[in-house]
Amino acid sequence: MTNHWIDLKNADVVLIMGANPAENHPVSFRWVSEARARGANVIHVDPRFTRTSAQADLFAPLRCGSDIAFLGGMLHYILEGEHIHQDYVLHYTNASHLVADGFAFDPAEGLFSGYDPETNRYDSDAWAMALDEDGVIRKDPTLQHPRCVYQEVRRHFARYDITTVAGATGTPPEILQAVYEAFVQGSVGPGRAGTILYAMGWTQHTVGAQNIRAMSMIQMLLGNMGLAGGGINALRGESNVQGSTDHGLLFHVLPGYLKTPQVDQQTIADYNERWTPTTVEPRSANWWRNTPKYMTSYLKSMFGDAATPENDFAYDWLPKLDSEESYAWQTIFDEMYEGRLQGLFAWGQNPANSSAHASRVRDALGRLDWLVTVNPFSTETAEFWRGPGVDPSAVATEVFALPAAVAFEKEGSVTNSGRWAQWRYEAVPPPGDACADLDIMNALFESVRALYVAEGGAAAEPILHLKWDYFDGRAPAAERIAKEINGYFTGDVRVAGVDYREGDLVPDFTALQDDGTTSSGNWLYCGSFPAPDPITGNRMRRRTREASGIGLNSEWAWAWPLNRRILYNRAGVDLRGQPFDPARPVIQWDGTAWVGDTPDGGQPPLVDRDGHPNDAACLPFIMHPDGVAGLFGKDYLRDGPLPEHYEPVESPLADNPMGHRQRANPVAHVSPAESGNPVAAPGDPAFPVICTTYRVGEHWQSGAMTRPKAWLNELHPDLFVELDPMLAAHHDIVSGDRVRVQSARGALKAIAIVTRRLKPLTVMGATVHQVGLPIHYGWLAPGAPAVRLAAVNLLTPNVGDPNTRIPEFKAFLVAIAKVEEDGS
Amino acid sequence: MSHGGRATLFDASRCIACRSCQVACKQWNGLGAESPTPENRGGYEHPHDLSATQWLLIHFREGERADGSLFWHFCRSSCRHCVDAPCRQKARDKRAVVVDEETGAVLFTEHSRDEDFAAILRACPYHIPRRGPGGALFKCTMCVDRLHRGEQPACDKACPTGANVHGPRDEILALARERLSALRLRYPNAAALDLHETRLILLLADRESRYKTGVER
Repeated sequence: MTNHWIDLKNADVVLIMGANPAENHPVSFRWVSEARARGANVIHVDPRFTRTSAQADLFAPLRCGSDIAFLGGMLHYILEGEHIHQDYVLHYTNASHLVADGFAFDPAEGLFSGYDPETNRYDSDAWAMALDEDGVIRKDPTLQHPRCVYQEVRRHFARYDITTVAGATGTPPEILQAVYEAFVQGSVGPGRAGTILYAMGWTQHTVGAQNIRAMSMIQMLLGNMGLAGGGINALRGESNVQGSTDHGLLFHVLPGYLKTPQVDQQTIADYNERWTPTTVEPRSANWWRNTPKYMTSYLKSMFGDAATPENDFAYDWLPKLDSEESYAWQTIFDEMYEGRLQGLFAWGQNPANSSAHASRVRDALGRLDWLVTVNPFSTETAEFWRGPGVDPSAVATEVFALPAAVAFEKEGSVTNSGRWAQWRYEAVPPPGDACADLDIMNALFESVRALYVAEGGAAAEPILHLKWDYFDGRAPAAERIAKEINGYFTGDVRVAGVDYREGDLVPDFTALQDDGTTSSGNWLYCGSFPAPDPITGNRMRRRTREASGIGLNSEWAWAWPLNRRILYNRAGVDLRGQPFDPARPVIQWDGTAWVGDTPDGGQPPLVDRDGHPNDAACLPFIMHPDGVAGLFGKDYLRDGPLPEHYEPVESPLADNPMGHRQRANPVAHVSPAESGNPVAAPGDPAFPVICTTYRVGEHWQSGAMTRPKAWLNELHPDLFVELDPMLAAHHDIVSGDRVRVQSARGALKAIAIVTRRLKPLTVMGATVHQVGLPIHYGWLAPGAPAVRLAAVNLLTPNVGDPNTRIPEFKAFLVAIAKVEEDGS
Repeated sequence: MSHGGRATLFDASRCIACRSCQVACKQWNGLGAESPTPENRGGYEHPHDLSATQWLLIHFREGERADGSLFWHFCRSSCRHCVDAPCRQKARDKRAVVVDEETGAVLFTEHSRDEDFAAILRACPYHIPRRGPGGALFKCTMCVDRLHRGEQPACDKACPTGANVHGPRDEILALARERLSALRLRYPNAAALDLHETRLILLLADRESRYKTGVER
């Protein structure tokens, strides 16, 4: 989230799209309800009328996978109607920047320049900006130059008129118009802010990242970023998934979103040169210029005294990615299926249920030598070897199931979607043999290190030299690790006039150094634990509620970065530093300093009191080398500098409704069909129905933690499929019937819920039906008939977004049929 | 007339049917699941009815209005703790149904096992009482045990959106009126049901017939 949960109450219009917070983030609805009580409009856009729609003032149905067409229509409405926030767009985005001549989008082919059909990749250099002789981006502040970003964007979305959009989305034109008007009216004008809430409904598509980019462009054009009640707010799918992403869960980043080294960066100098951006743009802070300080401090936290200037701070000991290769979730199971992976830790994961094309994943698990699962309950992954249709005697994989403590049985921090790191204590000790994850990791690491000490082995140095002194019992390990993440001075240093001694905790990341005199396990969290006292030094423990104000609650827990509650807040003020919304100021320049939230940089406003440009100022989007938000850019995504509507890999349309030859995303990840990945052909008559997947509020994730709980399980006891009355009548299905749902990958049975909340839509002149199933089921629910408790991912395709490799769980094709009494 | 005591407001305009109240009720009162092998009956409303171990149920009703817009309304079914409770009047043994003086909660006791269950059920305007295996009658207790310790009822505590609000009856009636007048600006059909007769006041945002209240009238 750029903003945070409580801030939702400040919105004047709430657009919920690709999310179902009433069911999946119910506590968020307290703040949505407060916004409504103040008069805010709530708009919900979804294939299905959900418990969120029930609370909305305006509901718009759409076809699964047509979000970019829907949002492209809104961009069209904003640009053609000139509803933009003029000052914001001109000064805080790259609208005035000129694009180099190499760039083009071919509306007949549906491709951007730079496409290589041999490799199915784009060369993003074809999307570069036009530079002057000093290397500075050329600009046209009148926004009239045909090659300025504003005009490029306008030209691109000129094709997204209401008729075209309605044909692609199936949303009735009058509802499209009503949504566009309501969101723009709620957002534009003094004292107004519109927010957007999204979740997996946007990311789980082969155009997932571009879905979010399209909405970000809308928020920039309307001037909604950096304001209270504005922003782009991702409702994260687990209580601490923000924390795990921050701390390097994903393969392509280290903690703090430092890039993972690649094989062509053999020294730390190579690394720093590749990943430290430079700029010649005037007044750009270019914060990532500090990359070498954060990387060196990270290496010092990993290897302590063994990391020295002489050995490149042990940079050699970090694993390197093969360039351009993916190590994403899909790749792991593709490699496993092909027999190139011998072992797997499934730690707090249930891939036998939660992965796309789950039957192939279960086959892949059977090709492992060993599998370790760590979970509070047994899972379908731990028991895949005796799942439906599996002969245990034919599975050679050795499985170890380790019982883990649940959240309330261990101490540590949890970072919520609003980037608030909140410290939790151990309420009760774990039962039986269950252990906290940290204790399991420690036992494992001690054993592995002992083996390396005794026997040696390949690449032993990182194991032998890892700084690992958190479990000596002198303080709780979670606290010791939190301090390591914050970081220490590793020598006596003078920073900004203050003397620090070796062993002092670093006050915040502006004090981090690239010469090895500081450590920090994650620069973003530097400042979360700046003093040694376990209570007062740990700012994540703070619990002071805000007495008055806009809900920032700056003394409650701690938010990264630097306790900033609303990101890009210097874009929420005018050039003189005065808030666009004086009634709900996030920050404000009082003539000598900023007051309010931690500003995105403490430099003075862009112009002084007399309206003269201020040389000491800096542009508001400090993480971008250009200093402004990018409506267009070559460095963001692999599949284009602008969003374009492409069909899901499986869709009922043989042609792209935008009228070009490129049907699906040309660079989407599609696992090879010969490796057990069948995909239905476009418009395949064998699979005429669109299918999507989702969650219910009563279960969690793959259901491993909620199905064993009888109180929760009885609220939603069985896999169900929701379908519209017309489709149901065609197949002679009524609510409560058993229905067979089949895709190109597999089939399952589910209980029918026939509901008007799903409506047939008219797409490109034809009627399409959509059905949906929840993700939470598997055969391990106690006492339930196994035939009905199938995992919905037996149906989903192993295709994914080219940037993130998130699978397309949200749009694929199926056939349905009633299951007769005799089970046929 | 306020009759003192306590009351709960169920504000359907804020209910998202998360059913935290339904689970919290079972958890606090130590009530088990209805079945070891629960089944989906083709909808969202599970378990399917109140019982001696199911004292609170959220009902779902969906439909399409004449203008084509959809609705999906959620409503709470549990004892309304009538100010002048017909079940108490109907009981032959006055010890079977008692009223807690401090809160006004209507409570069934173990003496209810000798009552004519059918007569008491008929007397209840809201079809609430259920008979347990031992014969005694069961329903919501307003969490009097919690109230006497200065805590809020479990349903109120678990509610994330302010749809269940419990407090002194005077304050709850005032809140109900305040929310009703605000709601009517957006929803002309909004209504507060049985404001004067009960201690569980239902505030609806739409016509009563579009809600499943557990009582068809």
